[in-house]
Amino acid sequence: MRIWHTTITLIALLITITGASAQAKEPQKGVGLYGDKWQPDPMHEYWDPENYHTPQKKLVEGNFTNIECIECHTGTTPGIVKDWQKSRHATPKKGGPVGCDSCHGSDHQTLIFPTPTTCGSCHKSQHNSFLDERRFGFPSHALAMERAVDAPHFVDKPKAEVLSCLQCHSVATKCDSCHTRHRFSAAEARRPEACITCHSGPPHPDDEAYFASAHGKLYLAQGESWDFSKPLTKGNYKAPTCAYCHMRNGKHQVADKSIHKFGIREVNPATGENRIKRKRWLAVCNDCHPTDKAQAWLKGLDQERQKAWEKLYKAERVLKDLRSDDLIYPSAQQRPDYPMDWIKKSWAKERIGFYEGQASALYNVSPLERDYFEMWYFDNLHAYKGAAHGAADMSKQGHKKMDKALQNINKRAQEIRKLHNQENKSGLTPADPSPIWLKGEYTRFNKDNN
Amino acid sequence: MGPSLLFVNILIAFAMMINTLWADDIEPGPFTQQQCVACHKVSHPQLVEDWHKSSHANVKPAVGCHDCHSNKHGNSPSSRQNSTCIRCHGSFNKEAIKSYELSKHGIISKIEARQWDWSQPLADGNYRSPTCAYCHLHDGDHTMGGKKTELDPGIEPTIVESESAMERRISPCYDCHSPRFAATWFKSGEAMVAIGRMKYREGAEVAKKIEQLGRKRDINKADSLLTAMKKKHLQNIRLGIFHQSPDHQWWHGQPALDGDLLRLKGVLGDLKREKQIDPW
Repeated sequence: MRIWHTTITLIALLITITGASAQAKEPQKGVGLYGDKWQPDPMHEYWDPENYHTPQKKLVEGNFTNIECIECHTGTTPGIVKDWQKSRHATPKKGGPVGCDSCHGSDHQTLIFPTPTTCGSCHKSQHNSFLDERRFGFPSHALAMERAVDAPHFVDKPKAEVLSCLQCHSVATKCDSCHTRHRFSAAEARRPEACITCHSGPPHPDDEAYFASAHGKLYLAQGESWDFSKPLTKGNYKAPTCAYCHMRNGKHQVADKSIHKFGIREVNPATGENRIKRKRWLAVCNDCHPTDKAQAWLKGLDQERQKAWEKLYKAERVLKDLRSDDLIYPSAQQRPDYPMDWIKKSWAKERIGFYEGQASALYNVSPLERDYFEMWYFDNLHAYKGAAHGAADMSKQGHKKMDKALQNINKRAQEIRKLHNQENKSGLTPADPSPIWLKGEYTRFNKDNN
Repeated sequence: MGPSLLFVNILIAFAMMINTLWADDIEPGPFTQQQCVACHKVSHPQLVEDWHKSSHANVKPAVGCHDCHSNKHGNSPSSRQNSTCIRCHGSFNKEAIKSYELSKHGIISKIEARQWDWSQPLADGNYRSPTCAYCHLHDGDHTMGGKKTELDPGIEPTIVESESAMERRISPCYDCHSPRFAATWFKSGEAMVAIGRMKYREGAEVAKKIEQLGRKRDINKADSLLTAMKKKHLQNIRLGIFHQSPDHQWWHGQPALDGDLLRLKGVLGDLKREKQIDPW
């Protein structure tokens, strides 16, 4: 009997210990598909507080009310206090103020950084529609962080380097990407500028596209006089802003109309799902435009995509042919591999095209592969974003860039073949490129610090 | 209230009135630079002294009071606005402006600038987001980090140039952010720039080999790639950290460096193969 007792107690203890250690956060490790292969940078806790935030225990001790927090922080961080005082949280229409302690907790030793769940405890419908994005897959705001940290290049590169990715991809883990703290204004998030800190730059020049479109030009000319405290519904705005279309009626759901998936892979716009999505788009355009016109525009976008993919596949073919002939120099075996590719090490393969993981083919690849990466990720998306936002000139520009890139890729491939033929004729084999590609200060650092 | 206290109160009120009258008494101008300095040396000696130490006072031609405040009196509120700085810096500091304008700080100030009370001092979180002047002339500090020596072309950009420079740079952050956040941000930022510098140095090593083996056209190509790495991409990472533009840290920074580094390696690789076939 006694032995049983002891055994049961021991088992219970063991379960408790393992349970507790499973629950305890391990800030030393990353979270995600390859989380065991990397360690977060100290800044990571600010971009993904739910997974990485550790309260600063050294400082102030005690439990505080909102009034007490404000008393101190008016001296220490006056800016955020002033900001909060002007927010709806300070003087809500119903009830008392939503104060510091409401979101951060009251014990200074265990303060939390708010996450979407924190905000969602009051803003239920917004939070639910945001979470609903997940079922549409990528691209979406809700899945952005997973998308970032599960990318092979994120796992591979030093974390202080890829820290830059998290600042935008934290749109999944914090609400203040759009509703900046501590004002958390809906009106601010409705302005197109609220989106462009992230929606700008070579692979997503949404800012350039929108401001070049007739919609954007109207906003630039008259937007200052628009009342952004109004909801994003029909009749409230003379021209649509980013949020007007992508977050129709203020629904925090940007993924339920995504047909062309950011333009990074080819899609069939005529699938059942995409037809439903198209109807959703038509309904948005219908707020101002007749259906047949809107239909024609969307059809135009499909045609633009078809043209773009013809060009991209031509380039892809050139690269894949070179790969079949063993002419990619350096080959995947002759250059650094990703840390989680241990299975593939013996069958290392160059990543060509979306489905092979080309999104990570931006470094440690041959110049030709990088050329194609840029054609696909920069030029193609320049064309797509222009076409999708009604900036025809920009789309044309993107197509011209793609034409030029394709021409260069063809030319370069011919040179590579010529060089190979010359070597063949002289009975030479190309010098081993590994010393150039496997050595060097950054390359070595990257190998040791991913 | 006793008679003596009343007397003191009257005296204070009188003094305040005189003070106001005196302040209002200043003619609106226009004033010459010499006149500005002559008066403000007495009224705000620290300010004039600080300006003398600044890079504004030490470039040729110097950037004087007029350039930001106009030649009229009482122009401080409008001179605090970003447009004052962009008037000059917009032409030669394009990426600096762009990186700020894309940041959340820049976005907020663009959206809300019209509603702000620009007569407030550049301190204590008086502005909802920092403007150019809020950080670079924080609390009215006209030294702007002191005279800048001409950047040695051999020096690679960093975040933490010196402890004192860092302290000056970081202090405006505390008006809204915790010291821990600000310190972590810049420490990680320094690590990010350091990684950029490694890429540049790796590129420089490759370029050196190209110079030893290559023809003029190879050397020229290597040269232009290496220059872009240092003058553009590396600077962009630095600006991305200071001005908080993710795009400058990433797309205009790290992957841009990666691209030029691998292209340098490509030049060297091809060069070796070509030389094997037909040594020049």
